[in-house]
Parts: sequence; structure tokens; C-alpha cells
Amino acid sequence: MLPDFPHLKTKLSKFLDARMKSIHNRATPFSRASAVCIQEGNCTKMIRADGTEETIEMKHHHTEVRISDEELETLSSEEIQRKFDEAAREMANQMTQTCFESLNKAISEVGNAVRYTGMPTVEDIFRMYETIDIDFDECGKPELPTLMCGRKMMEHLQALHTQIESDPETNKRFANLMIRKKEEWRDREASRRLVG
Amino acid sequence: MIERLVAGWLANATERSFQAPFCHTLTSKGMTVLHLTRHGEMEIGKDVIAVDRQGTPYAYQLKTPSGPRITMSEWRNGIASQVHDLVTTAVVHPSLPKTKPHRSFLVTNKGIDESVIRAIGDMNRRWEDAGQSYLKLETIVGGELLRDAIDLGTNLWPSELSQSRDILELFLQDGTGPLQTAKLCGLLQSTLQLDVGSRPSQSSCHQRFSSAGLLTAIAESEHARQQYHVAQIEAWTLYCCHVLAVAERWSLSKSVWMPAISVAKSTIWSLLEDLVAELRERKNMIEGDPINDNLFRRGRITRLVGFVSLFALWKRADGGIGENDEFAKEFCGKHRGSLWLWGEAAVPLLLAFYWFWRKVDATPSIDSLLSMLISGICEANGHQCPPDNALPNPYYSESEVLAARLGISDEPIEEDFRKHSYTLESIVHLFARLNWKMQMTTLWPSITHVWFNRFEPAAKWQFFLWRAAEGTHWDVAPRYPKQWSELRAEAEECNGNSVPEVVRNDPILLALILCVCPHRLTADVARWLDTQLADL
Repeated sequence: MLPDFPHLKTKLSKFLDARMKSIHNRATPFSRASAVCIQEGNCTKMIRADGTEETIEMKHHHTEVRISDEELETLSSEEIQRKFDEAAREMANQMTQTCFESLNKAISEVGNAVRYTGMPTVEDIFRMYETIDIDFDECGKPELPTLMCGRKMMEHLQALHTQIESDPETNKRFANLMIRKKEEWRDREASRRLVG
Repeated sequence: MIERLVAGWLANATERSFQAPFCHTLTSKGMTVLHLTRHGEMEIGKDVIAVDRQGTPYAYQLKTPSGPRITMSEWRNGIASQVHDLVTTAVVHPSLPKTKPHRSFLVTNKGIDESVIRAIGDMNRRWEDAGQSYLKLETIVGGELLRDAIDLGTNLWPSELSQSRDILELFLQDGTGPLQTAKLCGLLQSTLQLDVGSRPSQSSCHQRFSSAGLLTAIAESEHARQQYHVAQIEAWTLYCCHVLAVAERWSLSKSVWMPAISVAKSTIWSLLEDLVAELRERKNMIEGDPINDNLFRRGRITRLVGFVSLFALWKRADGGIGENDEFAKEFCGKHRGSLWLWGEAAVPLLLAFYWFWRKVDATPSIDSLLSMLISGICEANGHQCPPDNALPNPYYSESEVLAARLGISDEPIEEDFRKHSYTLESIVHLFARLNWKMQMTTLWPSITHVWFNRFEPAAKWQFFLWRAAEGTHWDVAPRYPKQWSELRAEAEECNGNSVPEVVRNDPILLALILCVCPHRLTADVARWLDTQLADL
């Protein structure tokens, strides 16, 4: 064989892996969700507290990086790295799509979908919060869900939230909604008991 | 390469470490091993007693000389008198006829000096001249053992390059560190052809069990050299798991698999005795580099308390409550305050302690262990707990968890363990069985924040695999509000539907398997074991 430095290359590969993971995490909003590793088996089933059962199918995602021998001799390290960066983004896209599909399916099944035409209004925001359960932290603050959307929609939603905060009437309405949600949360928590 | 590896192992083995593979070789030749001991309390001079198909008893004395051969001085200083007892005292065993003379063998993994061979010849001649030709000492030396090992064992080992490398790595591993369980299991699975879909013949099973036995002995040889008994116990328990997997999968007759399990269980039993003997001698629980030992001591103590408890339970199952039981009580009582729930993999060890302690302490004090485990898991894995404090699930070993906690792991754990537990449901059911309704009522709200996880293999035989490719991972939310009567009914159920048939007569072995493979603990298995062990 020709002279080589396999141990150094292994170390470099670890850096490459870490870089890919970082790019992947930045490219999907779901990287912030908690991850659970299924160590065995080929099927996952879930039974909720209300007794409803769901089977979650495992999905296989993959992406390829093809670099020919000629390319390997001509491409710079940065150019090779860019190919791997692209693969990480592609992987993130696939996983994001799967996650959204699963979310949409679950939301539609329980009837929690809020539909609107054009851009959402303050009313749509209220309708959205009405449909979901909201938990509260130890200090009594609501743990509001993360909103996922594109840049344009994000700007619009931020404007709507500013509007809710600045307008005394809608602000009061929002505060009342949160008071009601807190009561519902207390009821839920109070029902976590052993009876009989 | 494999032949040289076996030769190297045999040359460095002690009479203790080659005893188990020697017995497996005997079983693969169609003999039944009736008894093996390392202490010779019952059978004077006889380490192994076996019987062939014709009913002839065989008695073996195993010896490892300090040099390459048994010398005249070693012969005179002990071996001669031991083999004299071996040959002249009758083999007493309920399975053997009292009248039939036995054949006697001096077995060594090395060689025998010519002068000693002459002395053996003279001894045999004297008996013959005295009209006692049935008294005779035969020998088995290292070369014959090696040939048997290669003929009966290694040709069935996996031959792929990667797995040959695994065998070599296991042989060369540092015997002071933890056992490389995943590697050993991969090799055992290949050797026993658990990936192949055709039913093996009876003779093939014997051969494969023997081959896997030799593989296990080689994998744990460095631990044997270091007298790291816990790692050796784990290795032989994993061997049992894989033999039981074959037996369960093909519904084999007990006569096919039981000899291999008996040998392995006797080996584990002897190792537990050795462990207890070491603990009796020890002044403290410090091991290895003492400077950093305090970070690892409580985990070590938890493991030791679990194994000592199992040993005491095993002794009770065999009908013997003696000084070992007293020692177990003293040891576990002394270290009770140091037990540590470092991860969910520690739960079976703590349950072993619970099952033992309720036998020796009639007060309800041990019940608090269960309530403390429940609150400990709920506190660590609750929805509002910091993710770094959550207890890793039972798929993570002690070394992985400790490395992550200390921030020195090569691959940091990225999984979020909050809101899930693989062991909580088991403990909840055991605690509900004790009828502590008020305490459970207080605990229930926090229990409902943690989902019960369990894995259900697609087939029962896969219960014994380190990782099963087929099966269902369950994620179950505790119901609320929950009726106490409903919880009690669930907790009292003890059919053990998920317990494989081949282990239903051996709850102690199942408890041991759980300590080595903690991810196999489910509420169903825990309830069944709780009932079985209560009846001991």
C-alpha cells in the first residue's frame, strides 16, 4: 500500500460527522424536539392516557454522496465538505417532511386543524390557542407551543402578537384565555389521581 | 489464527478457567456431567463427575502446573495424594449405581514430566498386581484438550474476518474493565446460528453448545486471570441466554439443552461462591486506582449487593440456609445505604436485593425501597426535570452512563430520557402488591407524567437476544384518574405470559439474566418473578 495516516483520517471523520450533525440540526426545526432512540424492534405502538392506541411506522431516510476518483483528485477539501453539507441538508429536509406529515395526520385525526384563507388574523390565533391544551411551569407561566413557519409568515405572526400585546382589549381577551387554560390545566393535573 | 489463539488460551488457563469448556467438551461427546466443583467439599479429589451413555461413571481431577509440565515435586506435594483419593474413593451420586467402578482421569492443560508418567504407571501396576485392576489412573494432557477444542469447537466459530477480529479482541481485552457484552453476544449468536432459519439436529446442538462454551471461556479468560468474578458471571449468563434462545426457538427436548445449561449454571454458582469468598476477605470496596474510585464505588456496591442477593436466593432455592445467607444479610445490610440508582439498568440489581431482603427482614422497611425507586424515577424523569439529570434507560450500561455524567464519553448521549421509563411500571406493580394505598395515592400524580416503555420481541426466543430486530416498542401513558382496585388487579396478575417456556422452572436464572440484560425487565416479568421468588 501507499503511505497513509488512517488514525488521523478517523479523527478528521469525527469532525466531519459533527459538522454534518450541526448542519442537519440547523436545517430542521425538529432538532429542538427531544429525541428518543428505539434500540430494538421494527414497530412502535403508543397508548395514550385516554386509552387511544396508535401504531407509528418506522421510516427509512437516506441520502447519498457520490464522488468519483477523478473528482477526489481534483476537488479541494472545502468542495468535498460542501457535498457532505448538502447531504446533511437533504437528510434534514426528508426528516422535516416526514415529521410534518405525521403532525398533519395526528392534528387532522383529533380535529385540531385550524383552517384560514390568506394570512391568519388575530381571530385565527385565538382559535388556534383554543384548540390546544397548554401546560404551565412551576412559576405559573404558560408553556406556549413553538410556532413553525416561513420567514414571511413569522413576520406576520410577530406583528399579530405585538397587536395582541398592545391593544388593551385583545390583550385582556388573551389574558382571560390564559386564565381559562390554566383552570383547564389545573383540572387535568387534579385528575392525575388514584381513586377508589 | 484461531488455532493459535486457542493454544495460547489453553497454555495460560488455570484449572478453574478450563473446567467449564472441558465439561462442555464432555457433553458434546455424549457424556452427562453430573457434578462439577471447585472446592471439593463433597467429592474428595473429584473436580468433575460425568457418566457415559453406557452408565459408566468418570471422575476427573483438573490440574494446572506452575511450569509447562507437572513435575515430580508437584506430584509428591499434593497431586499424588489427591489422585489416590480420586481413584480409590467411590463416586457417590444419586444418579449413579453404587456398585459400578468409575474411571479416573488426571487432566492438565499442560504436560506431564516423564518421571511423573512413570510414577503413575507404577501406581497403576501396583493396583493391578494386588488384583484391583479396576483401579487405574488415566491422563488427559494439554495436546489432547487442544485437539478436542479445535475438533469440537472452533470449526463452528464465525469465520468472517470482522468476527475473527472480535474473538481476538475479546481474548486480548483488558480483564480489569467491563465485559464487552455486545461483541460476545454477536459471536454467540453466530456460533449458535440463531440467524439461520432451519432447525438444527440434536448432535449439531450439542456441538454448537460446546463450541459456544469454549468461545465464552476464551472471551472471559482475561477476567478469569484477574479474578474479576462479576464479569465472568455476566459472560456465562449471556452464554445461558443464547443456549436458551436456541432451546426456546426450536422447542428442543430438555435432554438436549439442559446439560449445557447445567454446566454453565454450576460455573456461575462457583463464581458467585468465589465472589462471596473475596468479599469476606476484603477490608473495603476500593478497586483499582484509588484516587478516582469514589466516583465509581456506589455503582460497584449496587452491583455487588445485587449479585450477593441473588447468590443467597439461589442458596435458598436449593434448600440451604447457612453461613452464606448470614454473610449476605450482613453484607447487604451494611451497604444498603450506599445503593445507587445510577440509571434504569440498576433496577434489576436493586430488585434482587429487595427480593432477598424481604426473606430475612419481616418488617416493612424494605417496602420503602420500592417507593423510593418510584419517587426517584419520577423525580429524575419527570416532565419538568433538567434533561441532564434524567435517568438513562436500561439500554445504557454503567460505564456509558458514568462517562456521560463525568463529561468524558467519546460519544455523548443525545437522547432525552425525560417523560419515559422502562422500569417504572414494574416497580409500581410490585409496590401496589404490598397494598400501600396511601403512599401510592401520593405517588400516582407524578407517575402519570412518565410514560411506561417496554419492548415486546416478535417471538419469545428473542427475549434472550442482546438486541432483537423484530418486535414492538410500546409507549404507554399511565391512565388517570385510575381506580386503585384496577391497579391492584393489574399488579396481582402473575401468569408471566412473556416469560419463555425454557426458563419458567428457573426463576433465579431469570433474575440473573435480568441483572445482565436489564432491558428485558418488564412489568409482566417482574410480577411473575415476584410471585415465584416469594414461594422459595
